Amino acid sequence: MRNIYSPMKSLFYVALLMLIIIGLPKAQAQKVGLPVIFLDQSGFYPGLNKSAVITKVATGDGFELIAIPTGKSVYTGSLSGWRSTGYSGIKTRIADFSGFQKSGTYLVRIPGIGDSPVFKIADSVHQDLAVAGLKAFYYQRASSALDKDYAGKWYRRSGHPDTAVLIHPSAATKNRTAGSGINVAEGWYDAGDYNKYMVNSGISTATLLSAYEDFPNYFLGLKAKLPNAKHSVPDILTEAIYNLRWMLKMQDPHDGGVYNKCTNLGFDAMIMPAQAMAPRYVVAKGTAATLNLVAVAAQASRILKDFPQQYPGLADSCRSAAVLAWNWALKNPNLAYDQEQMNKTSDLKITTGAYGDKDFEDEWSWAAAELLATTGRSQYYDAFFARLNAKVNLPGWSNVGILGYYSMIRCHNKLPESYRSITSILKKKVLSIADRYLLAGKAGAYGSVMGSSLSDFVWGSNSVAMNQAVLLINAYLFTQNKDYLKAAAGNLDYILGRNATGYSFVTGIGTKSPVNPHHRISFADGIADPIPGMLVGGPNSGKQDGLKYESAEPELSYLDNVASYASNEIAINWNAPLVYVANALECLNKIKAQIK
Amino acid sequence: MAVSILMLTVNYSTMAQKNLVKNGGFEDELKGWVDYSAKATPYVFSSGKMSSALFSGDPSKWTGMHQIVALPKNTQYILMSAKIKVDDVGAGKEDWNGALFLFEMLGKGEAKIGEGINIASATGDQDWKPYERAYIVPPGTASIKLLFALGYVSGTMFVDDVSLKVISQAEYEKYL
Repeated sequence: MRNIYSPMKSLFYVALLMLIIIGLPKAQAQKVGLPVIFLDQSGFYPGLNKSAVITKVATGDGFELIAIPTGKSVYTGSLSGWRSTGYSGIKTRIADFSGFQKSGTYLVRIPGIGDSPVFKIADSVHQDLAVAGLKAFYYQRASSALDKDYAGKWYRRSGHPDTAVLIHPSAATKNRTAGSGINVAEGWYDAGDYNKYMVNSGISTATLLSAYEDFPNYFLGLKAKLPNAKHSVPDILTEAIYNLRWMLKMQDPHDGGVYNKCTNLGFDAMIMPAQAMAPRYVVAKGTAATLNLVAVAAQASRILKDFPQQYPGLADSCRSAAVLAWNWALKNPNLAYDQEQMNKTSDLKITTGAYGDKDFEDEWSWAAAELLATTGRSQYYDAFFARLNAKVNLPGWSNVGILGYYSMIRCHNKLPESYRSITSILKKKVLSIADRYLLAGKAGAYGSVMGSSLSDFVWGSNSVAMNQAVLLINAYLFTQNKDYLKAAAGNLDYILGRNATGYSFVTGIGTKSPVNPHHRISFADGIADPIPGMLVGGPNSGKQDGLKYESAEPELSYLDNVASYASNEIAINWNAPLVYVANALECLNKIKAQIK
Repeated sequence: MAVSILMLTVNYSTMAQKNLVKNGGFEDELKGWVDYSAKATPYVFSSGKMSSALFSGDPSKWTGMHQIVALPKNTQYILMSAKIKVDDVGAGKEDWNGALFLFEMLGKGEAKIGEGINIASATGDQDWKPYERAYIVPPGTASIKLLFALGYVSGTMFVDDVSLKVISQAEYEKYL
């Protein structure tokens, strides 16, 4: 659970740390040394930029590209001058070999430094990542056993059936009294914990749905080997629908309001889902949760219209749910989830993540945009237009306005003629951010947009990198300016190893990736390797977990330690933009002319 | 039909160019303005022969003037602008305190919609400086209240060339 620090959580993690120190029998994956030359450990597309970064002093100014297995030097180049981050004591030099485009297996050799990890230059170089990132959502499924045929060695028993979740007093109504049970089965576990939160589910599901909407033909061919996949339904939709069905159940059909979360009173211990028996509750309805359902259900409705045989009635159900939720929100336009206040009025105190957003203008804008794109109705246009002056920012669970911009731009041709002109405003607002990124990236010490600013290194910094890349890809899609695409790929290079830590931050991807994520299943399953395809939070200068880090530098504030919830947790809203970016690059690389 | 379209175009063009603020240059002193301490002055101005001056020696007070500008029906984009000069305007207790140019949106019956939005906040000494804000008018907005004030600061503020114009979407986008 991210960004939601609490004293109870602190106590829990002190206990966790003690368990780890005294040697809880968690198998350890084989340790690999950290690289001294930092680059994308998966590799590079032939037609896109390629570079490596060093932070130590070389004996000269040159570098070589060595072909594997021949050992022959196939390219030589000069290192850049020293670059400063501006926010840390670290200085970098960049080895740029973008001019070399021949497919193969290579390493970078720099005199006085050493050799880089071996990497590939190839088409489809991120195919494994693209599939693993999506499959990671399957491994997060609640209320479901994971069969060996689909989960491999990470198969497990079902946990958290959530078919009789209790109504918390904060959620009680005449029709659903406190202590009565409702079915809110399915959905994804949010992160390293086993709770399910509407607002984080919203952005995560929407990002997967948007990936499909932007690249529908590509996703028809992407197979992640999921159970119960329906004929001609892309796996990304199969997986998104697993969470969508949970989100729909979180709506009270009597009034349309949506509960904020399905949760234990406190976090589960570091145990497997099947061992977790604590009672579960749905907690207080809220405006943010409700508008998240509006947006996701409206988007899902227009997508599922194309799959009437596979999902009979689901598109209509989604549309109805979205409208019902919208109408509830109109009556409750500012109902925040204040967990601290709620706990003062109930004996059933909740100490899990709050996701306590208090400003709902961005949720209103996003929800209106999705309903407008789906229905074309004037009331949603007015609600969206009324909020068009608002500044938009990089998305996060509490800041979702720009998600509606992406959808409006994408659905331009589906909008009623009289509403289409405003997409030019939306494009300009998106481009104002994208152009700022391009400038920052060119001067950045790591050759990427990510890491060009100290403010990048927040809790879940790796999702900053991926959401920046999503924004840049959106900018590319409506401008066809390849600079945006190259910058997006640069951020993926950062995630996969071209960063100060030398880690590829996705489990199971690259030569040096996290093996001890803050993730209950990976910790408790007794399997050495963590669940693959999960993006960990990454360097976080806040270091809220109180652990001892080896460096004070912001970009090195990372620990591959299961107790490091501030830098090494995983989360669905971090993986979703990873899925978008990896698959978008795979798709666009297949259309080679677009990126050469 | 063609004539109607032409007339609409002409009307829009006329409307788009017209300054909807009455006496925005203060050539008719404070006619059209609701003031709570403003004075028209012929001694300092940016253009014409007059401007409006606000003076406060008491930083605990809010002194200023405003004008409510009715918008043509279905207005979507506006451009608000003014020139401001400040002399010895102190800094207040809050960040936003200063010589202020702001606006509020009003609905039916001049009911305020949302919070006031700041266009400019100046302190210290500053010669005539133009300020402007292009804005999308939310549906339901009937008029705009333009306000100039010394917000909890002492000093002198001069205001001239106040304007509010309806603009096209293309013109609005130039300000993005």
